[in-house]
Amino acid sequence: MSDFSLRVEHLSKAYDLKGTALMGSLREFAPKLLEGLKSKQTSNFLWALSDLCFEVKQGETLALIGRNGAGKSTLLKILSRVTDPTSGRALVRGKVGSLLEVGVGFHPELSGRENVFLSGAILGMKQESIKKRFDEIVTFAGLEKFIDVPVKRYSSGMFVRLGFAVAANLDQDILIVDEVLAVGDAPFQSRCLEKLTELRHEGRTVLFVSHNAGSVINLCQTALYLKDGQLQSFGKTDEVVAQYLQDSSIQSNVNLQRMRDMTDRHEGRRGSLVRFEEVKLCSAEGMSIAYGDPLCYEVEISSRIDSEELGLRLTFVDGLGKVAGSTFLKETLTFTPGELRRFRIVINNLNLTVGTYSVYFVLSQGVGTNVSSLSCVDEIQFVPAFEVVDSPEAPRAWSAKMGPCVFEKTSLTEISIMDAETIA
Amino acid sequence: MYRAAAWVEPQVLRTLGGILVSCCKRRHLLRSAIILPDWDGIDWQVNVTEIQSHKGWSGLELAQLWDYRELIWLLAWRDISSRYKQTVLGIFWAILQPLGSVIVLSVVLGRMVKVPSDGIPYPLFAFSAVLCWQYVATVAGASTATISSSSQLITKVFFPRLVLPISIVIPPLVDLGVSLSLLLVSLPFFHVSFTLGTIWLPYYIVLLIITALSVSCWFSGLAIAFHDMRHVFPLLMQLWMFSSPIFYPMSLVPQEWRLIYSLNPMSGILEGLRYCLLGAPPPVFEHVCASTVSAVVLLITGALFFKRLSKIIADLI
Repeated sequence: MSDFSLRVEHLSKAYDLKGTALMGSLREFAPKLLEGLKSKQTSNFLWALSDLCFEVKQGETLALIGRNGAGKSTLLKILSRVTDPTSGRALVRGKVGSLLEVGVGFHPELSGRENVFLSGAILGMKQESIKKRFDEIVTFAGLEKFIDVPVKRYSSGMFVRLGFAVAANLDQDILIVDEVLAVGDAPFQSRCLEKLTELRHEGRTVLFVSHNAGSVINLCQTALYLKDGQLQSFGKTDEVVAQYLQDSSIQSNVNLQRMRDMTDRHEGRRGSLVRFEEVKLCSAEGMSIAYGDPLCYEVEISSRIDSEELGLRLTFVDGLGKVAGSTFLKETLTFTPGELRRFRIVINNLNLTVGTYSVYFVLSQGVGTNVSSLSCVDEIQFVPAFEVVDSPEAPRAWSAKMGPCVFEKTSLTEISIMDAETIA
Repeated sequence: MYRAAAWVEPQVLRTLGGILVSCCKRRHLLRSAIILPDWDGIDWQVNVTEIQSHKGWSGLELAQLWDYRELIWLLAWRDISSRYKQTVLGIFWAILQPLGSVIVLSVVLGRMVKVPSDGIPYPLFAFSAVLCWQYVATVAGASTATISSSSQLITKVFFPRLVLPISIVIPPLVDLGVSLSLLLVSLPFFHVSFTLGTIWLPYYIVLLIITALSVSCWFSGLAIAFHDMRHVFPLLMQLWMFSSPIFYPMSLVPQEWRLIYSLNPMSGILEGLRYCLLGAPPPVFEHVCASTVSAVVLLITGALFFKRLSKIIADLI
């Protein structure tokens, strides 16, 4: 007898983008009926999930990560039985409580008290068990004073708190939570995380979707990384998250132009006037850098206006999204309108441990170490996220928990700019 | 034929099993025995739910619906209480509409056109029908809107979808009750007294609710299938209204057509109600049977139809 809480076997889900013959409008359907429905339309299927297999043990907390449209919500919808899979099956042990959205079924005219019962019933709970848990729910939401006020007079924060409190305090064996922690203030968020941890200790299984890598690592032992509806990796959270972050950063750099368009929209940034044109890693072995070797980048910057006192900063971020180190250039750059210049940046004492890193290149107005006095001009998140590979000098038995970066020397700023040719 | 039997049998078994299960104390044991087969060596007895593709028609899964009976009441109660909280005059509006149409009908049809009414005062004759029709029409209107108004629920939470058309039927019962008591109170003013036939009143009320349920299932199912159906519903309702003995008695229908006419559940209900309350001649037994059978058939087919379509609504809205 296996002790799974959730088992997914070859689960697939297709959405028919054209719609089936039955659906749509009567006006379109009537002619089809006359044709005898013989000519079947070629359907355009979108496989939101394809051939997913995994198993979650009882009491485990599983994080579901992936980019938008990777199929996370579809998977949660199938598991909470909102929609049927196209093929394959999932076995669920016990009652599932899903929190795909906070405050589902709340009616604005009814009081908080009435809505707790209504919402509980919608989530499939008996009135008796809600009655037992009622005080706990209200205390958790912190709404003792307002429980008899119509929900329409609640602030949005109060609304969300009540909604989460109902779902989290009901006796379910499996709780499915979709991005609800994004709403609500910081104290409430931390209370939610506490509650989820508590549920885990009680032996409940929690499925959790979040874009916040930090909360995923703290909360979940296992993670599942979905990419275009397929299971990319499944296993220990930090490994899966690292792979996800690496993947997503590589993808985001594929189109440098698009990245820049996004920075242009930021107010107060003059990204369209002074900006990075090209950033290139100079390495003989692709993305790999041996531990202790210098790191070299070639950067092209253009300016359409007169620019003085431009500073360049590099920030290194490790595979888990934590900042590993930053560096400032001592030199300032001066541009005349229409100038395009190329620079070589060499970091000689790159004492980063073995792992994958991404780099933020920030072009700012003004130099110095006082960040608040600098105004960001252009910023790109840049990878080929170089990878520091193992070498005999690399520190042994270094755990990621001890911090990803080894600072053998206190400064990381030995950077030389070799002013290359000036292209007018 | 064999295939049809093979299809019907599991459905029947499952439904019967569902009823048995909900009556039984050791539910999970029975459920695993009847509904979920023991296969793959998985221990089914500990409440394992299987999620897989359900294509085509399926049983009504009444056991599951029974588990969610509280939700039906709560949804209905939500609509009732929010409606009457908003307006102090809620009950008044409930009476005003049928009362208004009864006055118009009595003047135009009763006085001017002189439509026969089986010897019943025309205002009572019309009111008894209008209050029933009002009920069915309200349910029909709500059922076309229910899918879009509860789209948030449908896309985010699982529950037996049949809960929705069922819960629609309950709130208008309040208005029906108010109108019905108004009718009962006004009987002495028209010198109409209760007869022994009044004991049949609950039967016709139940039949009316069954009819409303079938309307609710069919209309909300059709509203899922075709989003431009709402343009067709008013026409359908109008056709139905004129083919029911609301403004005129059934005795105006030619003798040979009456049995077919009785297949309209409303005709049996209205004729029966007038017999119960207003002292009209008792309805013909075959006619009542025809109405009852057609109402029940409509309900079962409607529920199956809705069930089939409801599986895909989450993907559509």
